[in-house]
Amino acid sequence: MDHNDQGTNGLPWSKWMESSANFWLSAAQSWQELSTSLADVSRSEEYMQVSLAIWKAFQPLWTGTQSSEAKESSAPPFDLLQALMRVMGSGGLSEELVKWLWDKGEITGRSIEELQRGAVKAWTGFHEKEIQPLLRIPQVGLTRVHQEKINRFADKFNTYQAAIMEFRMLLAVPMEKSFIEMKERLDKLREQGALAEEFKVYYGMWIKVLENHYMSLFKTDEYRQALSRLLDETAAFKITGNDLLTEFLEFLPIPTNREMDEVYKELYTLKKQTRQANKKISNLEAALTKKDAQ
Amino acid sequence: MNTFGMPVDDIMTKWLKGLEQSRERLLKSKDVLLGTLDTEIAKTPYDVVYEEDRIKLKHYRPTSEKQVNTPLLMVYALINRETMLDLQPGRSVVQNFLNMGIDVYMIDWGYPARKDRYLTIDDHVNGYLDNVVDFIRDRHSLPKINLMGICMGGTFAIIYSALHPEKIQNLITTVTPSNFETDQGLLHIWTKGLDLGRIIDAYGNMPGDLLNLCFLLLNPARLVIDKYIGFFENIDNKDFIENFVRMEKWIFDSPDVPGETIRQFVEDCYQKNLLIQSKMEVGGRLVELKNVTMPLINIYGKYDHLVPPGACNLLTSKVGSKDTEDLCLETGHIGIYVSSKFQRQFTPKIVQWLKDREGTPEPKIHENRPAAEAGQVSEPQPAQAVDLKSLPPLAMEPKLTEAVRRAEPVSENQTKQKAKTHKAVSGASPKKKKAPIETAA
Repeated sequence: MDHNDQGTNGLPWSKWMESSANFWLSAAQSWQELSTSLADVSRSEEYMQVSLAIWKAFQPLWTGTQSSEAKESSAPPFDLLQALMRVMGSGGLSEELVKWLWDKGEITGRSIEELQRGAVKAWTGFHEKEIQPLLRIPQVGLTRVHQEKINRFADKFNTYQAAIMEFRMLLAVPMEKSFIEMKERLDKLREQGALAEEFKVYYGMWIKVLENHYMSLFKTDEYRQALSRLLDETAAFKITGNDLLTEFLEFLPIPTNREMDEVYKELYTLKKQTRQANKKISNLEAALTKKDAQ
Repeated sequence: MNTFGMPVDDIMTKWLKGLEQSRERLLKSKDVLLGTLDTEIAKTPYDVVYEEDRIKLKHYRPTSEKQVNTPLLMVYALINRETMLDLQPGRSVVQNFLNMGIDVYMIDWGYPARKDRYLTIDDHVNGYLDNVVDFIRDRHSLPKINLMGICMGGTFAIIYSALHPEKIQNLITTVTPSNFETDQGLLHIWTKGLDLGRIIDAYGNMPGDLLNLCFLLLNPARLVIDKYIGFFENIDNKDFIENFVRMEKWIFDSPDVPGETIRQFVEDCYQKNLLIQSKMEVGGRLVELKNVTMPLINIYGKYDHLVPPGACNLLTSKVGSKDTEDLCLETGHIGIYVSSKFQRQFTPKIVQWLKDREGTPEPKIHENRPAAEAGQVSEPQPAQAVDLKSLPPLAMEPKLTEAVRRAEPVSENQTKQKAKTHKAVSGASPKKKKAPIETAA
C-alpha cells in the first residue's frame, strides 16, 4: 500500500477526493465565467457550484481527514460555514442569518449533524426569545384585528419553517449514517481484497443500508414527535394564512371559503334530511303496497 | 495496484464505459419517450349504471358465460383510485373476474371537493354504499349480493355487512385493516400520536398529496431514490417505461379524502381501535361484528407495509360467521392486485370460493328499473369502444414489472423464503382453519 496516496489519517481516497473536488470546482468556476460572459448564469451551474462547495467542505468529515490547522482551531473551517450557509439557506434560513448566528457563536458542533442541529436550535431559540414576544405585543386601534392576524401569520410562518428544518434534518441523518457505514464496509472489503468491480454492487449495498437506517429512524419517538410537530405547525400556518387571506378577500365581491363552508354545511344537512325522508316514504309505500296485496 | 484494489486505468475504463452506456441509453430513450406509449389505465369496458353526487357505479361488460349468478360489488378505498384493479390488460383483477364468469360492479368514489368535507363514514356506508347495494339488488331482483372490499373499502364493507347483513351473500375482504392495535406497520405507529384533526380543520379535506407524501416517507430509500434509479436504468425499455408510467399514474392519482370521514377513520379505528372490539358507532348504530354472519374470506399480504398481517388476521375470529377463511399471500399491499403471479392465486381462489357458496337460480336483470330513492340511474354509457374479442385471456403474462416491484419494498428475507399461503377452506362444511400450504413461487 502506498501511503503517499492516503489522506492525513491514512484513508485511501482522501487525497483523491480533495484533488477531485479542487479540479471540478475550478472547472465549474471556469465554466461559469465562460457562460456568464455569454448569457445569464443557469440554475444548473449554480447548483453544481453549490454541490461542489458542499462536497469540498464536508469531504474532511466524510473521509475523516482534517487539516492540522483545523484540528488545532476550536472553530470549524470557514468552508464549513459556507457549506452550512448553502444547506440551511436552501432549507428555510437565509444565508445571512446563518452567518449572523455563526458569528454570534450560537452555532456549534463539529459534525454535519451537530452543525445542522445547532443552526436549527439557535434559530428556534432566537425566534422564541427575540422575535415572538415582539409579534405578540398587544395591538390597539382601528387596525388591531388586521395587525394581529398579520403578526400571528408571521409568527406561525417562523415556527413552521423551524418545524420543516427540524424534520428535514432528521431525514438527512440516515443518509449521513449510510455514508459512514458504507465507508466502513468499503474499508473492510478493501482490507480483504474483496472490492467489487461494478459500481452497481456498491449502490445495491448502499440502498439497503440506507433503507435500514430510515426504518430505525421512523420507529423512534424523536421522529414521531418531529412529524407531529411538523403537521401541527403546517396546520397552524395554513389556518393563520387562511385567516389573513380571508381578511383581504372580504374586500372583494367574491365568497370566501368560510362563507362557502357554511353553505356546504347547510346543503349537506338538507340533503341528508331529504334522503332520510325519501327512504322513510319509500318504506311506508312498500309497507302499504304489501298491506294492500294482502 | 493502488489502494482501491484495482489499477486506476481499469477504474477509468469502467467509468468511461459506464458513461458511454448511459449516453447510448439516453439517446435511445429519445425514441421511447418521444414515441407512442401505451400508458392508459382502466381500459376494461364498462357502463355507468348509477350515479349519486360524486360517486359512480361501474358495471363491467361480461366477457364470458356467467359462472356465478350473484353479482359482485367491489368497493375500493377512498385513498387513491379503483383503477388499480384494472391497471392494464393481462394484469387486471377486473378482467380476470370477467373472464371467469363473474358479474362485476365497482364503485368509483370520484374526486371529493371542498363541499364533501362534511361527509362521514355513515354517509359513505349507510348512504352511498347502501344505495348502490339496493340498486344492484333491485336490478337483479336479488335479496343479497356479494361484496368485496379493498383496504379502507374493506373496512367499509365490514361495517356495512355488520349493519346490513340481510343484503350480503358473501363477504370478501382484501388487505383490509380491522385491528389497528398493532406495531407491525409504520402507519399504525405514527398515527397513534398524531393530531390529524388540525390538518383536517386547516384543509377541509385530507389532501391526497399529503397522504402520498406520508406513503413515500414509509420507505424513502426505495420509493424516492431506488425507484427512479430503476427508471433511468431502463429508460430505453419501452415495456418497462409503459408499466412504470401506468403505475405512476395510479400512485399519484390521489383524490382528497373527505375530512370528517378520515377524521373518524383515524380517531375511531387507528387511535381507539373500536371496530375490532365491536364498539364503533356509525350513523348512531353500533357496528357489532357478531352480525357479520355471511361467509367471509379475508385475504392479506404477508409483506404488506401499509396494512400488515397483524391489522388483518383477527377479523375472522371476531365475526359471527361460522364460514370464515384467512388467506395470507406472500406479497405486499398492491402486489395482490397488480402482479400476475398473485392474480393467478387470488382471482381463481375467490371465484371458486364464490362458486362453492352459490346456490340461487339465475335472476333476470331489470335494466330499466329505478334506482334507490336517493340516486339516479343514468343511461348506460359506452365507456370505450373496445372489441371484446381482442381482450387477452386470463392472467396471460407472468412477469412482474420492475415498476411494481419497486413500488413495494422487499426485504432480503422475503426473497429467500418460499411462497406460502394459508390454505383456503372450500366446500360445503367450512370452518375456521389456517393450514399453511406451499404455492408456486
